[in-house]
Amino acid sequence: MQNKTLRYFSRINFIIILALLGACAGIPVDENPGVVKARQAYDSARTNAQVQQYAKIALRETQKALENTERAAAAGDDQADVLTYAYVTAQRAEIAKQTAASKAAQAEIETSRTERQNILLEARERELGHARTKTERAETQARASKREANLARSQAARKAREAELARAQAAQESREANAALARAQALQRQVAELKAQQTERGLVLTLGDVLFDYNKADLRTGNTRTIDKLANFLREYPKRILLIEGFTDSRGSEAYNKDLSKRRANAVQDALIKRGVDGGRMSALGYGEAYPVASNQTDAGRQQNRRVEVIISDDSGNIPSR
Amino acid sequence: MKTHLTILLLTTSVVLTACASAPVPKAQQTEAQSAIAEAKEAGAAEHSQYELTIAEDKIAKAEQEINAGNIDNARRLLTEATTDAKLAEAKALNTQAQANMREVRESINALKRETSRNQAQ
Repeated sequence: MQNKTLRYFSRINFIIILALLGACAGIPVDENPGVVKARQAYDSARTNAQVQQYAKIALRETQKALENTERAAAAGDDQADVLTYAYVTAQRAEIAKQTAASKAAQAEIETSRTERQNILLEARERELGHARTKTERAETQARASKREANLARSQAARKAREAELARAQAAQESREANAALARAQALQRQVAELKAQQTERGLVLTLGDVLFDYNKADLRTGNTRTIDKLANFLREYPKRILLIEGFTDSRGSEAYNKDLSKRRANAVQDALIKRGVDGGRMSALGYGEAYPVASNQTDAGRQQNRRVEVIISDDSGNIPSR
Repeated sequence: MKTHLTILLLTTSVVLTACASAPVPKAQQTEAQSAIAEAKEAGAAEHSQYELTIAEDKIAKAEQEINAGNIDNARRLLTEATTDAKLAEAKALNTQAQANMREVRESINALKRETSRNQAQ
């Protein structure tokens, strides 16, 4: 009886176990909608190029989830569990896709960083190029300006030199003019002192007969101031030469008068030689009673005619002849 | 006889335990919660709110199931919630990465335009 009961319970037990196992098992694995769904999800991830490149780990996780689904289905687990595993597989597949897209974006960002650096580098090089060109242009201009400045400076210096020269010349000319004026004034003074007269033949100094005794050709001593002045004048103006002409009045023979006038002219010449005047600068002539300057009818006129005229040349040494 | 009965009872209970896991799945709850936290940290609240909400709803529902004694339902809900949270995290990261990429592309294009304009000058 007890054995019977036991056998009965054992049978019931076996049935219960079978029933329980049956509840867990069910449809064949390949047709299990959970497995089908999980495989589709896994395949969609596996064939995705981005996933292959960037999300290998996530893809492996998806594969594990698929295997869990298949195992659960094969083991005849509760279909709710199979569907949960299938759901997890689908989510894993989506995670793989999201991860892959995310990593692809990051990769592009990295690439872009390099690209941006290249663009900036190129831009900078271009700018540097521009800057270099600009600098070179500026340097060329600076050099040109410097050359111009130097040119201007040297021109200014030349002008300054020229101005200085002109000033010096002006000063020189002014000095010379002053000197010439001084000389002219001195000459005028001395001429005035000699009591010489400006005629068309030049300066003519008339030495009156007071220098000579009647019928004599010797210069009176002690009355030679005019001769001294003339000698000084000739020393001062060495380019001037003299023509010494002697004249008489009409008394006496012509030949005698001519001889006397010549002797008197010679006397003046000798007196000047004595005072250091070169004889080569002078010529003495006797004209006798020719070229009277006054009437020979009166004593006063005759006295005027008895004379020695000293004609002083200009600075070129010219004396127009009579 | 007594020993036989004992063996029978033990076998039955073992088979029953195999299908219905009786203890509260504390570890799974923790795992799901930390997955949610990670997703939020990745910006899921802003960028993948749909997936995040689903995950949070499932965790809440799992709690109800545990209270009702439906441990298996709770376990499955928690498993799903964990992957939902992980998807929310991946999607949030990807959304931000795509936005960054677009921004970088635009800035590169702007840079190209600007440098070519400078070049043209």
